[in-house]
Amino acid sequence: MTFIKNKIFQQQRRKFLHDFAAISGSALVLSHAPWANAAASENFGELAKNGKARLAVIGVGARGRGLLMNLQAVAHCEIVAVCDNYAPNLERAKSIAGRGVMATEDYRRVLDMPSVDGVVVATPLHQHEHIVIDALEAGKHVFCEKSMARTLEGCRAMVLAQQKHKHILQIGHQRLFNPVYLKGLEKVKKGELGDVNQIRAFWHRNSDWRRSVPNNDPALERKLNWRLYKDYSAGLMTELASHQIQVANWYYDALPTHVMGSGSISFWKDGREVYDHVALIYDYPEGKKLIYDSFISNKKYGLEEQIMGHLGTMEMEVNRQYSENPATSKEMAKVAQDIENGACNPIPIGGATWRPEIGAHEQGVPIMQGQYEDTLLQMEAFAAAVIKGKAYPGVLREGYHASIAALLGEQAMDSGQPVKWDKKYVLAKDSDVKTLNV
Amino acid sequence: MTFQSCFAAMGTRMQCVIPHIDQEYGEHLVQLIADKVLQLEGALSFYNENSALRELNDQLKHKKTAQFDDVHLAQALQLAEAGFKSTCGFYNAACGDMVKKVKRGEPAHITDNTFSLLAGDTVRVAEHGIQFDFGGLAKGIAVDEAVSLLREEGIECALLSFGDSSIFGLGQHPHGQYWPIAIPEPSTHKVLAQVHLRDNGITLSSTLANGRNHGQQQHHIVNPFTATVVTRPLTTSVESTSMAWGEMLSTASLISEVKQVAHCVPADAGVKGISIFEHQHQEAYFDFH
Repeated sequence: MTFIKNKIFQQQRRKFLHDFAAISGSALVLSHAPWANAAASENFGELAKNGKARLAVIGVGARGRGLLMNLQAVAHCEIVAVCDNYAPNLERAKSIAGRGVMATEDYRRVLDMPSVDGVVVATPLHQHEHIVIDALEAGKHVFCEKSMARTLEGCRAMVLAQQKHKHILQIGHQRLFNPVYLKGLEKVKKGELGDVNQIRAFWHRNSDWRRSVPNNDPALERKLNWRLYKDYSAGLMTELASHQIQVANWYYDALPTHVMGSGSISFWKDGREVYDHVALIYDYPEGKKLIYDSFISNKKYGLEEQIMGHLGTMEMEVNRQYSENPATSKEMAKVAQDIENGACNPIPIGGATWRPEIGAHEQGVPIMQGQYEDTLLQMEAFAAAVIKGKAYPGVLREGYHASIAALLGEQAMDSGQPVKWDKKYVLAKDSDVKTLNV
Repeated sequence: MTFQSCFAAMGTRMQCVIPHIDQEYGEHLVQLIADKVLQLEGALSFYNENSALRELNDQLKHKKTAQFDDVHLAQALQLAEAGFKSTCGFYNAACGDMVKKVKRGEPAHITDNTFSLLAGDTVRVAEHGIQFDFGGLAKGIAVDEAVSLLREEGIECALLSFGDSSIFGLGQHPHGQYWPIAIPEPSTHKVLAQVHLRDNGITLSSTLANGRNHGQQQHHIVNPFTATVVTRPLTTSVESTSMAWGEMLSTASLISEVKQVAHCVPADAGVKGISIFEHQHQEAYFDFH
């Protein structure tokens, strides 16, 4: 990975780790993102001297290969195997992984390898449950891409398996390791946005969300386009929404009590089974709400999580913060600066009564400056956890609840009825595993 | 340190620069000011259906006398009445309905918009349907109240700007004898006029202040005697210790083209000078020092 060795990248990387450590040390972040403090306290450079986490990647489609390349950049990690039951994917992964890395179409062969400490699971969603449980039973630590499983019970079974076997189960939500999100969380907890009562999130694309099938072979349609079929995926909910619902749960520090929603196939009427258009309301305690929508026939607004308080708003994806009050004009700001500098310069103000810009045109300010590789840090953290045999606190809980919420949203849309969050799907905060309501 | 802050009110923004105080005290002061300004907005807003002004206007739709019991409304009406008399009707807060119609391009009749306060809590108007709209007067009252609050708190110097069109310099600049304001010409940004503020303010009004729509200048200053917009490209600035009077006189100056108003400014208005500009050229200056 040449970009990892790139000097500019390394400079950005140092700043990233510096920022990450600074934010993670905040008492407010510590209590709401304990994993971040744990990751920040790692000395990744030293870890590599005491051995490496030996990892295998199971499922090396586009996302799996992306994770594979990130793992290659982790100094305290060694890739020992790649696995995929679709030969073209496996061939691509082999060429990335290089010689000496075992390649197989059967994940059970990977689990049988004593030289594998942990596995990264990036298969289609419906395969997560049995592969993860098999891996935990085989004594492997597991990093599993979101969402966790195709069903509510599947998610729960994975957590129970983790509880039983005591190995690490980390769910892939890279925003948990992103300094912008951590800084945003700190600002919310400090009260900079005031009372946050609504989070609005959306993910819009304009594409059919299909992967090309070689020779249009019908036998491969469901295998490659598994995201479009209900046996394998809940579509937009499990593949996109779960990321953003996780942010809402995290920022509210609460779980939804109910969800209601409406889903439809409104544009891509091509035989797919999952909705191409979803709109949902998640009700949280004290009347707070997450308003969510996703559809794939317009991309003007892209994706965003808007955290809206009575004093201000943050847009996380574009890293902007807005005040409900207008910003001080540059002329008045200069007056203050001049006074501090001992100067008394003419003040160029006065004219027509200033009118506020409408919200959509307000520029806002960055939540924090910088460019961050959160996926890389997430993989570094997992590899470090594997070496130590100790999970980062709180990560599984975040991933689990995001997955449950996404699937409850699917239920609400399918039934046309509000759906309650059953207490048996609550994972208490004190511990990742021991207090799961069974 | 020098504290600075900005908050939204009355459809615009109030900005403050207060030297020699810390952040915490600054925030406390601005909260006091914001509370007062928002109280005024709540009472004097033409558009807020729960405002005291709206209640008064609702009464006046059907009768010629109306009562009120809001202290802010009483203060505004007293000032508006004094301004109406002093400017010979060129500032008239009782033209709200006519002004709205003219600005929308609807037919507006020339009506008798005279009014008077009968007591501290009753207003009488000449005709049914009169609607009060204080316009900039509410903004001027707000700045005056903000200055009073700062003085009560022992603040000796500060600069306040409400919507960039009402600017008050409390005390003197920490590094100068006064607050040196250089009013920019909107299109060229050249200095249109220089004003030295020290315990006084400046209020600006312009017939050009409403921007352009499809290339056409949008006019918003309405002559209450003719029910037409003032189209001459004028800007006025009023230097005064009372920003409420500054607002009324700057509007009246635009409509009367200064001369008539300049001769009837009351002594207690605290006016120091009135300038009038046509485009960027100063047409006249009246010195009241």
